[in-house]
Amino acid sequence: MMLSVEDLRVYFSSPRGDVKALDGVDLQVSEGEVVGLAGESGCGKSTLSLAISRLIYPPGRIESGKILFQGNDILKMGPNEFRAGYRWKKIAMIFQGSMNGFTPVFTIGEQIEEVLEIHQYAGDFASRTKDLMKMVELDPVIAERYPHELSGGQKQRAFIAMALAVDPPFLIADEPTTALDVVTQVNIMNLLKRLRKEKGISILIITHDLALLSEIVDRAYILYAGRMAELGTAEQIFKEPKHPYTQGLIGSIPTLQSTKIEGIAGFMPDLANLPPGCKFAQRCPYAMQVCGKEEPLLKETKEGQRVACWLY
Amino acid sequence: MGFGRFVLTKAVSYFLVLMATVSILYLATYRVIQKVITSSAAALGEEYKQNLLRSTHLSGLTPTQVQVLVTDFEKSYLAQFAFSQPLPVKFSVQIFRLLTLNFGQSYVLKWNGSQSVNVIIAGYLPNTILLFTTATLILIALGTIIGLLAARSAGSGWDRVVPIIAVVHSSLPAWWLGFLLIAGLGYDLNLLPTQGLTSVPAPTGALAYALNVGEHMVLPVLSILIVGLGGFAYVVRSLVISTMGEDFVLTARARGLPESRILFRHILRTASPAITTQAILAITGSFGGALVTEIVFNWPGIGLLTYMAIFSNDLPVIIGITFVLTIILLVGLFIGELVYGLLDPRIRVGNE
Amino acid sequence: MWKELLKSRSALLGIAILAVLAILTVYSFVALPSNFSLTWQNGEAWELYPVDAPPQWVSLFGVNTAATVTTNLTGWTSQTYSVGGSNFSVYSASTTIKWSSKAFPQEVAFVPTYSGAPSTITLTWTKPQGGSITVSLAEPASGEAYEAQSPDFVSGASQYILNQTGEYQTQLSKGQVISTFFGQPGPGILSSSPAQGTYSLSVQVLSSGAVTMSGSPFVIVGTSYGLMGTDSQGRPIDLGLLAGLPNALEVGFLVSIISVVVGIVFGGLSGYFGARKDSLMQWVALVILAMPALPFLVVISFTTRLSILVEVLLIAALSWPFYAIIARTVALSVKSQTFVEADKAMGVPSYRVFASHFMPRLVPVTVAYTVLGIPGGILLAETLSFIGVGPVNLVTWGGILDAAFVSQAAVFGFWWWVVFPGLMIIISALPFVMLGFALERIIAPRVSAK
Ligand SMILES: Nc1ncnc2c1ncn2[C@@H]1O[C@H](COP(=O)(O)OP(=O)(O)OP(=O)(O)O)[C@@H](O)[C@H]1O
Ligand SMILES: [Mg+2]
Repeated sequence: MMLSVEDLRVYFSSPRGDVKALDGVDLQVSEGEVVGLAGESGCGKSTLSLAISRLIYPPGRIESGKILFQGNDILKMGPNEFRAGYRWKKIAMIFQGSMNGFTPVFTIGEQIEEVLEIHQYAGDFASRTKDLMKMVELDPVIAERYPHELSGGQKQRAFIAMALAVDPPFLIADEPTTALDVVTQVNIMNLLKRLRKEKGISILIITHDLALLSEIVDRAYILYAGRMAELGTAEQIFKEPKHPYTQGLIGSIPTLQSTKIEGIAGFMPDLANLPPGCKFAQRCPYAMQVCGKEEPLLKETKEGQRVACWLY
Repeated sequence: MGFGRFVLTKAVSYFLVLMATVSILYLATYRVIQKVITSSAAALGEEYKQNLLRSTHLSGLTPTQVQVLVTDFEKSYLAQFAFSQPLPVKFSVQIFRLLTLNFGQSYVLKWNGSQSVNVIIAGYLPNTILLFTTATLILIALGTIIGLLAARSAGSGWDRVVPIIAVVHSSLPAWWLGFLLIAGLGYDLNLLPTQGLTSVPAPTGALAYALNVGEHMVLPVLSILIVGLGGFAYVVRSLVISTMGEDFVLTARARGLPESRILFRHILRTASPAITTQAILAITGSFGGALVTEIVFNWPGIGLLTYMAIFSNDLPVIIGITFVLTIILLVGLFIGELVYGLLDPRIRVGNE
Repeated sequence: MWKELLKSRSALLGIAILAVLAILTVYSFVALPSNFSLTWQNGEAWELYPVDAPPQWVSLFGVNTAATVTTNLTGWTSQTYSVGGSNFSVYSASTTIKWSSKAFPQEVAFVPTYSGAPSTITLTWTKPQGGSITVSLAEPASGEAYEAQSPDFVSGASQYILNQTGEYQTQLSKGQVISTFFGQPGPGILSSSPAQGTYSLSVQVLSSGAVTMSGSPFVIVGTSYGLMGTDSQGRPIDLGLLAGLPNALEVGFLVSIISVVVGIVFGGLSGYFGARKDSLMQWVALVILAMPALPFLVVISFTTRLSILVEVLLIAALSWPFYAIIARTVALSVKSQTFVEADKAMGVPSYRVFASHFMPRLVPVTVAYTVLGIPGGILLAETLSFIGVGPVNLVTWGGILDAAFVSQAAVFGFWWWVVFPGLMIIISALPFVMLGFALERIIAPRVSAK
């Protein structure tokens, strides 16, 4: 097992009380597996990815839970051990809005070489940088430019190049394609596919874009209001979603055939002030009495597919 | 290429600022300047007359002829300033003279026997530059370090120190502090010299001389520092804290860069253009105070010269100082602007 | 905003100090005559004050000083005698003076004050151990100060010395007269230390006509004075500071409000207009920013006689660009917000856009910076006074410090003359800085909130 998140809780203190961004979340990623994480805005996806890199800063805190990376609990490590041994070397990350991820005053190349230097890459930095740029289909001269001289898509790709600099076994890609045009989106997704094939790297990919997700992932997790609503193989999730929320999400994927895009009425509850019972109950077309009272736990409905819903 | 154009546009813009500022100064001081010109003409004419009279036995001039010559002399002197020309001509001639640092003769003050305002200012200016540059460099270096460290421990005890620092910064006159330092460290404890540039007589030998000057500089620099340091450090702290909130800091952490490297390389470098701007503002702001500090320490710089000129009503010197300082200030701002451009690749490399 | 402000401890402290300053300002108007600044310049007015005297309370720290004691002789009684058909009256009053210091005073003086025409006034100075010195003032002038060096005092002292030592000395210095008055009786009177204890003074006024005595002060000019000591002309520092307070606050206030309002309006409009108007306005601000304030004001002071108002206008004219820069940043950040663009696109008139979106952000900034700007105004004005180009005929703290500098107070150790005026500059700036920072902290998140 590459990554195993167990019963993770991440809270943000706020004047209204703790915002429970993640409340008892489990997630597994095996070696060489591509796992998707989806859910609507504000459900806690980025929080989960940041927690895996131990990048939760005040007012946030990791309340409880374990994050096992290759069997070691990274939350128990000393900060320096984790920084030098895991960050980027083993867990690399493409951020939501990676366009702003470069320090504005250094060239792309300088920043990539800095990563190589910090993680003691054995080999020639310049040629490695060139290779990385080629890998993400960027002209190597771009390495000599400053971030502000690049387009958004170029920056995003350059950032992916930097993420791959020291061959991490695990990559988190948080909305790697938002704000990019469709061609670039496809290119980046293809790039991720290729990486998996050529290097066997495990990827946790986060996006709202379920259509894109369905093409690339082996398994997917659906997060709702800081809890897993459903998980399963790509087939199971996209072909036969069980959870009404997942169904709603799939239904909101626009296709050329559909005349009308279905959405999910209502909005996610306030994470600082969660209602009892199923958090989706208010918006659920199938809500029953029990839904408003007791919280459903994840239940296996099929081999590999688990749903947190009183319907099953 | 991009930077060259940046320098050029800035140079043009600053030159225009210089012209405008000098024009405003000229208009504001028009009456004084005309008064200085006429009184200088009279004084020089009188001197000329005395010389002529002393040598009448050689030249055989009659008093009437002398008077004619003197009147001619005064006329030609005034003509140099286009004194009786129409206003636009007069304006441009006199502005040109001011811009080319032609300030004429002082009334009383002297430097090495010379009464040329240029020579006098040139005599005092280096000491001001020495004192002020030293103080400023120390202030920027220390202020940046303290500001960074304070930013790193934001939210701790430092935050309570901040208001005190702010109070010190905005309400303590540097020259008054100088007084206290003189009374306390200088006279009571007799630790450091409090007056002048060197001891009297000045030690011979370059090293001994330099050390002596350095020793004399300690207290004035200290009083400028104490007043300015806190405020500058505070500004650096705020700038660094706001830079710390930017996205690239989080990704730099994710990349596994050590905290100190993030702080000193990434954050400091990114904040440095803004810090430069603040430094420039701080410098222009503390300049006046530093000038007055010179007076207290009897440091023979422009501040002391101003004070002496006020006391002896030496208008040409004061006018000269005003214009020279304007030019220096603008050159300083211009250099600051270039440093800013160098530090910020968005300007250095251009956006096109 | 006010509620939040009252929660901040530094703001509360600032308000408290401000209240004290306000009370002192009122007090200065009540306590000091309106022509006080003229009195301040007039050396004669301070004759009966000790010169270069430290504050009286230094004696608490074991410093050997003599306090300055002014005793008003009141409670006059009169008796009328008739000798040989002509009437004459004797008015008398007496008082006691406790002397506990080990130092001699600088001066003693009696200022008879009356209406009428007394022929002589006789002072009888009785020492704690007994024995008296008698000083007779023949045909004294009302309101005149009779000091130790006056012939009447000298002859009284000579008489006493003759009693004690058997020697007759006519040439007595001021110090010797004072030693005679305060020294230990005995042959060594002129080289003794002061006798402590209760002295008594009785005054007899002899007159053939009617005389109305009013409180006539007997002044023992010590070597320390009041709360904050005196300068080299005997002027009490505390009075000077009190007199300087209203001017300082006035200058600070006016400078700040004028330059902030001008700066914020200018910068706000500059940011609001944007584009070419913005660059032009920026350039104008830079032109002003480039003027070296201090020498510029010095030159101007040679053309115009500075009054407070002119000084304020000049300082404000030079300092508004700082606020313009700040306001422009705020305006630019407001402008970048989508709802502003939306309003503009919808054809909302520009003055409405400015009023509804820009003003609410700019007004709090104006308030905060006005408060924060006051110390700067005070500081610059005092600095100008220090180098001698402030408004004429005004008591200013900078002027007091200038006098201290010229008299080399720091060198001679007259620390009170240096410390208190400087502290006053700081104290008057303090509440504004504290309030301003508290305000800024409250306002900043609102202004930058996206
Ligand atoms: N620094 C913070 N302080 C307070 N609350 C926060 C903070 N960061 C995140 N949250 C809250 O945590 C919840 C989860 O945020 P997160 O960024 O993980 O959402 P997300 O699923 O990534 O959304 P999106 O798809 O929009 O990126 C949100 O409700 C957000 O309000
Ligand atoms: Mg997110």
